Amino acid sequence: MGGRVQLLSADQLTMRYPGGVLALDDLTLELEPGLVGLVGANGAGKSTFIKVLLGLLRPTSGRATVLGLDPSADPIEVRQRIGYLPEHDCLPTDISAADFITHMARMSGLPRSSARERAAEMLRHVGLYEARYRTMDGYSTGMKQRVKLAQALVHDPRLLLLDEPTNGLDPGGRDQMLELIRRTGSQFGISVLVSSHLLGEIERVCDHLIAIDGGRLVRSARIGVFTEQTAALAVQVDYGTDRLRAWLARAGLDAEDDGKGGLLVPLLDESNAYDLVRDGVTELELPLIRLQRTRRQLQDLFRASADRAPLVPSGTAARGPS
Amino acid sequence: MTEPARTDTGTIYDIGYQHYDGARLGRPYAIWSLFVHGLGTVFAIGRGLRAGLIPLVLGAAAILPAAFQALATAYTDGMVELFTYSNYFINVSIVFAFFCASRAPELMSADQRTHTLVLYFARALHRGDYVLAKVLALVTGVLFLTVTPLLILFAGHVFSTTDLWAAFLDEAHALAPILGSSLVMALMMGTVSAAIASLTPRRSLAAAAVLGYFMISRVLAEILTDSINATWVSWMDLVDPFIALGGFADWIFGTGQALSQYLGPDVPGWRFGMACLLYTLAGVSLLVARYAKVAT
Repeated sequence: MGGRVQLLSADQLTMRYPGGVLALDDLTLELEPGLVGLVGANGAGKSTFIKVLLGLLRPTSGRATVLGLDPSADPIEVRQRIGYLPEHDCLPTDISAADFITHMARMSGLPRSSARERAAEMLRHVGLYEARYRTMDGYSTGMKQRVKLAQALVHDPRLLLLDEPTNGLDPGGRDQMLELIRRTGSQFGISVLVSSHLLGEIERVCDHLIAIDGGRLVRSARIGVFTEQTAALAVQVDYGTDRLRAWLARAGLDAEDDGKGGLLVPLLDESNAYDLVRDGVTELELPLIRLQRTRRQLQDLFRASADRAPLVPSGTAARGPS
Repeated sequence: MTEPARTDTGTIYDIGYQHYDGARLGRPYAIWSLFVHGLGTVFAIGRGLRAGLIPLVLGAAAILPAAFQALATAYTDGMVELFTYSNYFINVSIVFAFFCASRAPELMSADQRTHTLVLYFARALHRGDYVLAKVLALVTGVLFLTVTPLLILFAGHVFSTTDLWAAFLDEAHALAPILGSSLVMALMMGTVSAAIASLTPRRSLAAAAVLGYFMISRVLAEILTDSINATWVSWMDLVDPFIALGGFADWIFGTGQALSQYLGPDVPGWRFGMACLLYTLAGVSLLVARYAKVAT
């Protein structure tokens, strides 16, 4: 840590639900302020982690800190500084967005007139200024997500915890929401932790990424490191896919089945991979029909990490449990 | 009209984000705000005419009998007395039951149904603060409906004579029991119905449960007292919270044993008070247990 500001940390954080489900398993990480993406498949523990940070859930063991405070010990202090956008629907329907955001601002201690003012400002910020006096039962999913963002911002938090903010949005709404998050995080000095199961959207807005799977840290790194890790070469041959795969394996490349009859070759060492594929195809005399730079699915990355030694070269920010 | 931002996101109006440097009034203010908001919900203020109809009609039904009684007292010089201070709540208990059954779900179930609860708990507010504000809002709403008719009865007694000051002094002894019995009624009904309503996120089910509880407890009390013949059976009628309240009211208004339905030589008044207290405590405990566990 040293003199650097720490946004949040988890130290051997474990959360076991009363039913026995292990949602967080010895999670250890440290983050600096900025736009942070939290990726993981559904059920990976993203929402649980966010709720522990909010002090809504008390971890079974281990410790978390948010802005230097312990959410289990000082939940009120922590929550004053945090804005939270839950994953699921959480808006009442029989009240207008303006009234609702004003009410939520007052719940955070803002005096009546300031609350009203801030509510109008936030609704303008998220692009709902015109619709703010309509009751929310007529709102589209996209509008509801924006109201949820507005209520998370209305008390001017220092950290936003956004749990799947693009859930249920169409591609257009997704883009707008991501842009809004990017601007909020990069221009207004509010740190953002945004969770998603889609790596593609996270890497568009975040500058740091943490990936968790099964409640454990898979990776924590700058976004660039991550995109390198998922870069892959899609190789398709008319026949002899298995032979090519075996050949590449002997050459030290773990090609994976892309599920469409082709192979995905990780591009860890780019030039070498291209050369090896070329050599393999030539030597086996296979008819190559496709050679394309592509991206592996995030899930592939998780599977790879779980099965084998971590793909990340040493020296990155990864501090995953060994 | 602001210019749309020149970004590829289209319709987002960009006038920038402003940080907030103003006052933050903290938890007590948040609880107070939630209480005021809850009172608005109880009387459906600002929710349109249709939503406001139910509390309006039930409020009128709770208060009008007192108004008629006050008029009757004034015109007949106290000869016609159907409603007294101590029997008022019992006689219109069904109205109070309906009022609580319609208002408690609005306060307690709605936030669970729409999952808004998590937004409260994610703010600088304890779970207990939320429950306190909501229940106090309901209790205050019920208190308004309990204290008003008794004060109208009081006014009826005062205004039935020409010497108002003397009549006021003559009747002033009733003021403390009026406040006491109204408050006990409001606390008991408010906490019990809030607790029942908090158990389900479905408003209609919550309403049926609250109303059902008050109805069934009455029937149960009657069956128990009619069918069992034992010395301890006189305690059984306390199963009905309204009987607990009726006895309590008779006790604190000093209604004579001859006139009282509940008090007798072997039936002390304090046990009704204890029963009311127990109902209120049971309601509070249920609420505390429920909101300690309720999923967010």
